[in-house]
Amino acid sequence: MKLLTKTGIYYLIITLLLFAVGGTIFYFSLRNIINESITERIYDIRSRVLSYAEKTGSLPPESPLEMYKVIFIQSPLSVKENLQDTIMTDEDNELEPFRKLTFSIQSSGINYIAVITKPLVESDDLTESIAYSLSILTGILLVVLLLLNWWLSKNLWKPFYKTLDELKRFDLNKKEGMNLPVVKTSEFRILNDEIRKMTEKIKQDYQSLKEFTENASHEIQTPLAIIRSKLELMIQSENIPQEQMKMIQDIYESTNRLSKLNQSLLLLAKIENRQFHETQNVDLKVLIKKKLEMFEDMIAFKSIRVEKQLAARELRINPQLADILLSNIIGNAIRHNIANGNIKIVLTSTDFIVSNSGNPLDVSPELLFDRFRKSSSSSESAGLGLSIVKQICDTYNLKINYTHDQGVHTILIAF
Amino acid sequence: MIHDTCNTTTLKILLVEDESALGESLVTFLKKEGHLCEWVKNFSAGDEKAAMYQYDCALIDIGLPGGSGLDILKALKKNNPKTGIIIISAKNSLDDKISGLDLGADDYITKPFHLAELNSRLNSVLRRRNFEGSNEIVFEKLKIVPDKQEAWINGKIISLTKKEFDLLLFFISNKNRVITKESIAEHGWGDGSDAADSFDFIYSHIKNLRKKIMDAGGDDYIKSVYGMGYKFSAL
Repeated sequence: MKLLTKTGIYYLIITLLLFAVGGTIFYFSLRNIINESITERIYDIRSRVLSYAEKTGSLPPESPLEMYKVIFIQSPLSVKENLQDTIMTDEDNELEPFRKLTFSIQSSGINYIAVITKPLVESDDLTESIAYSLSILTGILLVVLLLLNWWLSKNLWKPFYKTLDELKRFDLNKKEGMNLPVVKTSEFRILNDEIRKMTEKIKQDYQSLKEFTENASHEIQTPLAIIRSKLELMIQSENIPQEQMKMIQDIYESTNRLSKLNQSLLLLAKIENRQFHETQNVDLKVLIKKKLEMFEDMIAFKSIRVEKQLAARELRINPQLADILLSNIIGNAIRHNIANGNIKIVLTSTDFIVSNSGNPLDVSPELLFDRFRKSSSSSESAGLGLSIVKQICDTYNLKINYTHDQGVHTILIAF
Repeated sequence: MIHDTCNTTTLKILLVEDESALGESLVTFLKKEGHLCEWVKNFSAGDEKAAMYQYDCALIDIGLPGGSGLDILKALKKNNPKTGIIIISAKNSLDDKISGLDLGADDYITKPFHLAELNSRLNSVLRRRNFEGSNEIVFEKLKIVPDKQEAWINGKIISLTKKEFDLLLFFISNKNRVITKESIAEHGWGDGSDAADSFDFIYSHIKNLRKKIMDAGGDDYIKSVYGMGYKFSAL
């Protein structure tokens, strides 16, 4: 719900409450005023009747049809002057409230009781007319409120919505900063200034993180390159004893492992930092076939039987990452396979499934995608292959699942 | 003595590398190959040499103190378009690779690399540059025509698979030197070798290659060394 709609609703609820309270107060005070003026008028009529009688010595004519009805009743008794509200039948034979003043008056030596009556306004009518005018007022208020909201959001809140749009468009991987409007409203100006500062800071931090990754790799790759080149020159020497040559060989192999490890860590960091952000439609079927060609010598060496059911499927993904994803999954299925084993690769429009025969897993399946988690049987690998796979899947919101059943390992990726 | 039409001429190579220890290794290696190597360690010296002298080939590190190796590449291309150029980079960055190749580099190699791999690429660049596709490599009884992917022994063609031919070319480029299993695996199979839990799969390919050469009347040029790898040499 929009902020303005929300405030509008609150305004409306409060206005209605105020109108209800105000209407009640209005009703009572209005009734009071009316009552008082009726009483005043009745007494006014009384004094006029009395002064008439005094001056002329006779009673004024009765006026039974006027709003203020005056009648005289002959009575031997004199009554105490009395003002009271009572219910009587009116001309239409309906019971209505009346105010009645009775007092004694004498004319030509005869005692009369004068009665002045005035029908009171029905409270129903009063309530009705107050409610009627208040609801018209509410209606007008509602229309005004809607118009005001529309105008406010069009003008006053416009810079805020522009800022929101800019925030939505903001992409850390894009070079250009945010194009925030210059505004006069101080709150929006402060907001924009803070957003600008914050995004600049985030961009800088992100940039330095990326640079750190690159630099770290640079710093590690170069010493590795030096060690490797020295060792490769060293092994050309004819006069190194066998024993030392074995040591050199071990150093050389460790260097190669270190180099692969560094490359994997770098790759993981790069994926995490979303540095592979360009995507295109990658034909997975074609790519799987390419990967199987790449691995054909390893497959043949282990005499692995490959069964494939490939449907056409395109995936919007970074091509490099698609390559790495398939290489790691298929490569894994070959490396952890047994001699004369088999691999089944299934690609449908919804899933990519690779299952392979292999030795039972000695880590629990849920830890399989953790970094540096590996089965002891192949200590050559650093245990980062599946972490990279997981990271790629996470990047593209692909669900990955591993199951193991009677010597068959299955990895399923749901698109 | 070894006959080789490719390496009989001494080549003039410019090496731009700021890491002393790595530069030394490369210079030692290239000199052993019989090349003349000039080594500079920073951008300005590299840029100056590139503009003033003519080289057959240049190995340029991209990340240099004082500037980018890509600018040296431009200067070299301007001075002599025929110079073969290989970029060396510590970053396995696709952008660097693309911009390097766009600027006219012949190849791109990422640190840490195997010297044998660098040498094989250097030879292939020079072959393409100097012979424009009509060269042959002769080693003892072997004659190899890289562009036609043909190998001959005593005037008879040997039928080799693509992989076997690649291996043979790699061996000949690095003849008389110990070539490690790792560099063979990386050259022949690239990332594909990651799927193997050992380098045993290389062995079967080399055994086949050896057998084909010997069956055709060649000598056993490929010898295995200590468990390190192999050496390609005359008897």
